[in-house]
Amino acid sequence: MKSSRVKGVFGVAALIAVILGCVMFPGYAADNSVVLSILLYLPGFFVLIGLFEAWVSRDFVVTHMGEKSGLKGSAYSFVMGCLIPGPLYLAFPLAGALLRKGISRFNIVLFIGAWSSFKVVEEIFELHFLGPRFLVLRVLLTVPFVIVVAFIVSKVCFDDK
Amino acid sequence: MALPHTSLGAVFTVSITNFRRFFLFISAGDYLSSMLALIFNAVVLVVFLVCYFRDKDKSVHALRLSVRSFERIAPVFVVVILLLVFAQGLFSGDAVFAYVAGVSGLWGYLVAAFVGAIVHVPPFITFPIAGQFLASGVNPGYIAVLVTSLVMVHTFSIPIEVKELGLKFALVRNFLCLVFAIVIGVIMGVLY
Repeated sequence: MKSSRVKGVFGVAALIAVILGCVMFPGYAADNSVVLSILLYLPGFFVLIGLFEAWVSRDFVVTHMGEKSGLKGSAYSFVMGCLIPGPLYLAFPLAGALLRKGISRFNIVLFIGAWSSFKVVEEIFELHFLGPRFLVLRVLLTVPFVIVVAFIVSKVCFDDK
Repeated sequence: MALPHTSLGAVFTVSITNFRRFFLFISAGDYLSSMLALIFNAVVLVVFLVCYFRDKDKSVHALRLSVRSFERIAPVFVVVILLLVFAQGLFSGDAVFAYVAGVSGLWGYLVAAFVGAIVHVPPFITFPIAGQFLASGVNPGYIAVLVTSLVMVHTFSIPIEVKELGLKFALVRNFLCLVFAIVIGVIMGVLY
């Protein structure tokens, strides 16, 4: 408990140092979008995770997105992945919190898949720059593969937990 | 930040690059993603305030939980940020697409998938560049592979994935996404 606390404080200090370094020496990265997005998204994300852990009961998650929630639970997690904005590496802490609350394994992989490829705002961007034909073809081709990935990963990768 | 004590030419070069960098910094994609982040933060703030008025102690406890989960993930986060900034500094989005556009044949799908897996380009920067290259007549299959693997496979953020969901999960998911990116791209190349 104590050593993890120390590690965490060191981590926070290092994080602040890295962000300050990137802001003060902008010459290295071609653009600052990584640091920018992390700076802007971090507070909202971790407050959201804390609120989720304190306010949403385990029963609620299990009944709506758990093993026995069926198609509706999968649809919920898919839509949730599409709607919450943010880069992919911030999806994993949220996914971890959801998993500790009892969401099913298939749904969590589906959530991450939807988060990575079907973000609504990004799709608007894709529609504008790549055209409707490209967008529709890519989405239609990617949805089945995301479901297949969710199926395989949920069957294979959770034996340690 | 501060101007170095060097010759006028060097100062001029530095200010030109800073000027260019400033406009790169607020490119359309960055502007949109920052706006989105601000809206997201505002929504979370509103949710928090609603919760706070309903139950004060529970919300303070929630804040404590969020600080704890941040402390837990922070060391890994530092590593990932360093890796991502490193990856961004190595290759800009333009260079990546130009490199993939230069390859031809079936080999191009493979190159596009692996380059997209290693390099980190945020989606809001990927799509405008991809649009340019699609309009200039690059094989749409390559672009589909590159976009899919850029979006789905994140090699440099694997530490966070391992910390939260396990090593096996991270490796299998990224590998499957890489393979399926190639499959999607080949089909797109035929159909588009």
